[in-house]
Amino acid sequence: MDLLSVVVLLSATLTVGLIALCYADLASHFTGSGAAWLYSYNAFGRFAGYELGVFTWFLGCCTYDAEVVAFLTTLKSFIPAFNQSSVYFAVGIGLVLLFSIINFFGRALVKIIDNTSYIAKLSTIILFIIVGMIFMHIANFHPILPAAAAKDVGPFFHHFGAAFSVVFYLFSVFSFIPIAASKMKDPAKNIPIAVVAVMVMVTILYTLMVLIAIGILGHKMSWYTIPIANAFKSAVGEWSYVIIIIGVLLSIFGVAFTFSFNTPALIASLALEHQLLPNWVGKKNKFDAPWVGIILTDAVTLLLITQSYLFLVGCIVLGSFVQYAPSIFAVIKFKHTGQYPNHGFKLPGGYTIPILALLVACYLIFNFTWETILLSIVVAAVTAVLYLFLGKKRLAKIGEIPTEVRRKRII
Amino acid sequence: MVKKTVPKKLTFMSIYFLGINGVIGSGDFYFRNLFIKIWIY
Repeated sequence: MDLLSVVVLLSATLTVGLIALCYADLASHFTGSGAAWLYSYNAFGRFAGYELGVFTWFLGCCTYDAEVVAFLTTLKSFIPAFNQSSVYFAVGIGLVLLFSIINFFGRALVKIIDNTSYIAKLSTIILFIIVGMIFMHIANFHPILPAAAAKDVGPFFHHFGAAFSVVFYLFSVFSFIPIAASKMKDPAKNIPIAVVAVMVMVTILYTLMVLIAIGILGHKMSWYTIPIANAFKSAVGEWSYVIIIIGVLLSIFGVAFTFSFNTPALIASLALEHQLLPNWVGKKNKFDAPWVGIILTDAVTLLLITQSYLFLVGCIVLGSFVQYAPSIFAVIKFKHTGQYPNHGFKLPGGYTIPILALLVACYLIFNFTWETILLSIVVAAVTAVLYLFLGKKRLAKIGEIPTEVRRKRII
Repeated sequence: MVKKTVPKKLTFMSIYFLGINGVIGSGDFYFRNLFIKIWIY
C-alpha cells in the first residue's frame, strides 16, 4: 500500500489546521455560543449570521445522517438482512425516532450515552494501535505511489484532491467546538487551546491508525468496508473482529445520538437566544427539550437518510466550506478594524495564516459535486426567501446591533 | 429561601474531551476505506 496516503493525510491535517487556527483566534474574541454564524453576525451583519446559522443547523443534520448511515452500513457488513432496503430503512427511521423520543425527555440520558461512546471509541483505537503494532509488515508499505496517480500530473492531482476532500471531512467537526461557548469556563482562553490540542491529538491517532492498518493489510485494505476490523481479524483472529465491530457500533451510535441532541438545540438557540428565527422554533416542553427543533431536525434527517454516505460526506465538506470562508474573512476584518480584542489567543503572522487558510478552503471547491452544490444552493435560497417572511417587525425591533455588543449592554 | 443553582461551566478538560469525541466519529472507521478507494482507482 502506498505510503503517500500518510502524506495526503498529514498535508490535509496541516491545511485544516490553518482554518482551525483562525477559529481559535475568533473564539478568543467572543464568549457567546454559536461559533461560525456568531462570528459572521458580528462581522457582516444579521443576514450573514442568519444564513450561516441555518446552514450550520443543516450541516448538523447531514452529520447526524452520515452517522446513522455509517451505523447501518456497519450492521450490513455482518447482518445480511440489512441488504434488503426495507430492513435498512426501517431500522434507520426507527433509530432517528428512538433518539427523538429520548431527547423529548430532556438531557438526563445524553451524558451517559456520550460517555459510554467516548470510552468505547478510545478503547477501540488504543487497543488497535497497541496490538496492531505487533502485526505490521514493512513489505506492505510498497509501492509508495498508487498506480493510478502515478500515470501523470493530472491524475495525480485529481486523486490527491479527492482523497484530500475525504480526509478533510474527518476534521470538519472541530468547528462545532465553540458552539456552546457560553456554557464553558473562560471560553475566550480555553476554547482556542482546546481547538489546537484536539487537532494535534486526533492527527496523532489517525496517523498511527492509518500506518498500522496499512502495515497489517497492505493492498488488501481497499477490499473491506471497515479496514481496521479486517486488519485485526487477519492479524489476531475472529474474536478481535467482533470486539472492533462492537467498539465501532457503540462509537457511531454515540456520535449519532450526540448530534440528535445538539442539532435541535442549535436551531432552538437561533430562535431563543439570538432571535434569528421566530420564537415558536425554540419552543420547549416541560422537560426543557426543544420539541419544535427536534421535529424540524427529524424531518430533514429522514429526508436525507436515503442518501449514500459518500454523498453526505460531500454535503458536510461543502457545508464546512460555507462556514469556513466567511469565518476566515471575519478574522481578516477583525484584524484590520481592531474590533473585539482578543483574549488569551492571538493569531501570529498578521494576515498570512488567514490568507493561506482561505486558499485551502477554496481548493475544496474543485472537489464539490453538482448534486451537493445544487442542494446547497436550494438550502441557501430557501433560507434567504424565508428571511423575508420571518417576523420582519420583530427583527426591526432588535435592530442591527451585533449580539456581542447587545450582551455587554445588558450586563 | 430558595437557593439559586448556578449551572456548572465546562472546564478545559471537558471541552478537550468533548472535542475529541466529536471529531472522531464514523469517519474515523470509514474514511480510510473511502480514502484508499479514491486514492487507488
